Amino acid sequence: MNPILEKIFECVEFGKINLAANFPPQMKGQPGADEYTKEALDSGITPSDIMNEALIPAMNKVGQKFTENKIFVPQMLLSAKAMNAAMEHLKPFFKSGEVKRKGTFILGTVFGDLHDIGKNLVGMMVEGAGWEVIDLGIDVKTEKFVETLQQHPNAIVGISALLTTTMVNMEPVIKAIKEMSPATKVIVGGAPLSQEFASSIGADGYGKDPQASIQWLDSVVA
Amino acid sequence: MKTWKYNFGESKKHYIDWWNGKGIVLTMWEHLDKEGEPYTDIPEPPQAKDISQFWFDPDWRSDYLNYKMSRYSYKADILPVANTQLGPGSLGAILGAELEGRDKDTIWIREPENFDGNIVFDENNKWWQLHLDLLRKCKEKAQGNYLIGCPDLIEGLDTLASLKGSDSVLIDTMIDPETTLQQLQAVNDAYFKAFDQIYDIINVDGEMAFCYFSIWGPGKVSKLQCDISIMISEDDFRTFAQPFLREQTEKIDYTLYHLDGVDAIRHLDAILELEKLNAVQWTPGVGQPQGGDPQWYDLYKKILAGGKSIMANWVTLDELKPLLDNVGNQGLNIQMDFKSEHEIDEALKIIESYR
Repeated sequence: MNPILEKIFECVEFGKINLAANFPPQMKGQPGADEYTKEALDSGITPSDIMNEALIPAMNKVGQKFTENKIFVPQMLLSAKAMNAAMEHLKPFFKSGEVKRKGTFILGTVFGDLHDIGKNLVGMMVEGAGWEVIDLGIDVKTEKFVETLQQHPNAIVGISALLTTTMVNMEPVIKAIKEMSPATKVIVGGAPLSQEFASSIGADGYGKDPQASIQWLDSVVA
Repeated sequence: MKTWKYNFGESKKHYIDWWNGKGIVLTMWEHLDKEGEPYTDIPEPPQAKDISQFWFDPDWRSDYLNYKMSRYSYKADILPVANTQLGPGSLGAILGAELEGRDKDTIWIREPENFDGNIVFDENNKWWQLHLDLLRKCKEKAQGNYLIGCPDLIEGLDTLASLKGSDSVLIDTMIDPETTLQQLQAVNDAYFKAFDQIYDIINVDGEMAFCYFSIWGPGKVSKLQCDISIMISEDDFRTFAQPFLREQTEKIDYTLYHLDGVDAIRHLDAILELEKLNAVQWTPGVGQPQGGDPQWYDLYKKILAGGKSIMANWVTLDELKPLLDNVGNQGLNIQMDFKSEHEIDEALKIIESYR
């Protein structure tokens, strides 16, 4: 791999955002994903190569380490932040169409529920896996999901809930989405959920953790 | 103090024994209605006009609690304690977050919009004033017939998360550990300020009860937790949670740690290192069998072997005897899933043969 891409990979894996960031301690004083991505573009490396050879594989590795309990949420959040710093440089190429996203993912915490960390993690990881993510936030009403889907008719929808009292609110959202657009795929996730529950409310997928959500999303567009 | 609980003296002994690793407490999560006449005829207050009054009107809520307490069963070791909770983690509101009553089961805590990083205990904070008003009014209405429980203040990383947001707290443990530790100490300092003032209001002859998990003791009593710990490593738990929990266990006479969820079990060793912690409560979490299931026997044995008592929750009648046979009869607080006073009597029959 190109040495600059290797550096970007390493920065994302270990959560080194930029030169000013003092985390991780062993990389203090070194450039981060921000600087290396700019350097990569300046040296003529294509945005697609940055995305496909550095960012996506690095986030895959982060997701794998998280699944294996080798890292935890703080480390994962910092990796996602490093990835976001790199993505800032790539945004113009997404807009121009030079770099293609895998698809669009509309994401929100179901109405009645104000929890956001699981949803945020999934959003960051999915974005790092090459998807455009539209984050609707927390306590998202059915109408908001439907309205956003109308604006992005080919999108996949993700719904999060952390409580047994709010996970039941997912079913009417899925019903409304399917009534409007039967072909739209919906994935649900959150601590109290299970594959059985997801199937019982009409969801197409169940994301046990961010990595599982990415694998499912990638399988849908494969 | 003569309360509506006829056998309080006996239950107090059970609790004191349990805090010290002995015997059995047989109780339940909160209460069920007693059979027959109430202890005294207290008129039912009119329905709360809205959810805000239901939770946040001290006059209405103290009337409502007084009415409900006059009708609850206090058989076995069920405590005569009025639940004054103002959401899970009301210390966060005292320090600047906002409380929002959503329904009769839930109070949400919203993080402040412009938190500047300073943890300030403002005596004039409206939510702190509500704590004081509610507790004083409830105590006045109780007239010694029952105790007033300490609201679920919550401490440490969980409270810091309610001020800064979970993402920010978790990231700051990595990128700015020194500030995070300072903020956690400030949270603990505020906790003790609030807790001690609450104790001064609600204690009766030095005794105190805590709302969550229905605990009582002949001194200061609290439930401790760090629910956000499921997201951090064991090393980070020892850095960012354990020192502040230790301070609590040293300053509060009787402490119970609420261990929440399978992913939190990896921190049990660090929890058992808290020398003065008395007990560990186990909440299996959604999708898992509840506290009486054989799956958790080894966990209970590990806690007991670590020198702490245990609390098992939502135990069913058919699980009671196997639980005692396998885990033993010393240092158990069993919170049953009672549906009637008849079930309490049945459970008591089983327990008596193990005392």
